[in-house]
Amino acid sequence: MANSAFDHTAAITVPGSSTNTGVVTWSGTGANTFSDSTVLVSGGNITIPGTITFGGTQITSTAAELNLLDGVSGLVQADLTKLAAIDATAAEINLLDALDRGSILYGNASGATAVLGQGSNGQVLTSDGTDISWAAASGTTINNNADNRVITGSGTANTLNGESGLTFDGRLLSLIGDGGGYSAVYIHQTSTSSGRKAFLRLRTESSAGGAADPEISFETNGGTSWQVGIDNSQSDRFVIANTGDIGTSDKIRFDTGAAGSDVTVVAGNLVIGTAGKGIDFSAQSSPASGMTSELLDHYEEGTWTPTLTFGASGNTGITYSAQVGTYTKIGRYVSCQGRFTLTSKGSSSGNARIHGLPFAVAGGIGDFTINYGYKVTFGDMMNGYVVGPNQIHLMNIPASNGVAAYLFNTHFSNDSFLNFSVSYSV
Amino acid sequence: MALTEDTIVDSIDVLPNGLIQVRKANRVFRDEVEISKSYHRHVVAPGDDLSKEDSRVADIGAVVHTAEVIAAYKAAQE
Repeated sequence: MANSAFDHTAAITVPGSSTNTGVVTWSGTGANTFSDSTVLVSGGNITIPGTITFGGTQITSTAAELNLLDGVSGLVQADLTKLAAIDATAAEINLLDALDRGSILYGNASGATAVLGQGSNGQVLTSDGTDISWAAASGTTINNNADNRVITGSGTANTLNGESGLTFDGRLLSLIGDGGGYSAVYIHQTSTSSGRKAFLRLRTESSAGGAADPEISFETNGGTSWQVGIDNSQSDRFVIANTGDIGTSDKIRFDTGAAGSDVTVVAGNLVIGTAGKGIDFSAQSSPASGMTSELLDHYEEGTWTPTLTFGASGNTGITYSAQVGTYTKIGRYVSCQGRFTLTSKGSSSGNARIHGLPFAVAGGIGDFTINYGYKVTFGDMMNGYVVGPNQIHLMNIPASNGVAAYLFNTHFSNDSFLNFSVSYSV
Repeated sequence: MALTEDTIVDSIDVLPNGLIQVRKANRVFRDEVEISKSYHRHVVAPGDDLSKEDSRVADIGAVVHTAEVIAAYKAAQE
């Protein structure tokens, strides 16, 4: 065994084997001790059956330092070879070494790492879907721009429009007509080639002369529309119109100003939809002391059929060639006209009565007037009175004494004719 | 264009004394749209024959025109 002052090399030979040899060199400094020692095993492994202690701390097979690679799997010799190939001179490491400010690393077409240098001022990083590059930023031009104008698309790339007719100042959104047409806001369901469908529209229709009809329109998918708005050409009257323009298809008009304050139903009727409701005249001054109502709640026209009886209901054999009656009811007041022509007065007897009034009489108060009579014999004046609730007793009033008496069946002929009027309250 | 018409009883009023005010409406339709309506009225008194009345009027009369109501009405006519 060779020996020197600080290097100790030992050649180890397995007895009986010319190949199982090894050399162990232990080098170091120091006269009597080895410090900064190096143990070099020329080949093979070192097997330590005992323990190794560093600075008094024993290193075991479970030490954290030895377990760093315990969880690593799939590490093969080739990987270790690659790692071994990476050294301070590897190209990839050198790229990082020389990376300029503003440059970036990327994968190039060859699959290698490459450097993309700084772009020019204002350029942006873009991609064509495969590679990246620096490119000039695409600018957008806003035509007709001004303060508060709302910006809209133009249909041309990189170009927008400032709308002079649509402004927003942070508080008011204004849609401004151009004086030659109209401006409108639509809220609509669909827009097709045939136009907008099912929309609500706010519109100011303007003319060159400055007249304007502001209106709100509602239109269904089927084309039925309603408009409410102001007709500037008619002293600014307020109008509700149907399927057409204001001024040409008006349904209800509310006049203002010089035209007065009338409300006009242009087409159709004014319908009182609830029984007992009507027109209230209570704002009229100085009602009569006996006034009971100022509500006009009923109007009706129609027909009724006058019939003649002798006695309360005696109508045996009475026949007619004509029975005609009409009535008009205004509030509580009923005005009736009637006539009948007998073809037989029948065989019943008793005082003559007319039945069939269209409404029951209130309080037995009413007027009866004979307009014309034929073949009804009476003294000097024929009259009658309304007997509640729905019949008229015919009377004969002679001038001689003015004492009214009933007309009876004997005063009638088989072809008698009467034409009369009745009015009463209900 | 088809013109049709019908007559319905569109109003029945029963008064406290048993009188029943009946309104018939004669309606004319063009293609099922009402274009005209006219009214005809009559009053059914207690004791009147109900057999010729509209069924609803007759039903009402049968209930309202009790013997007491008929008697009271006739007494009022005397």
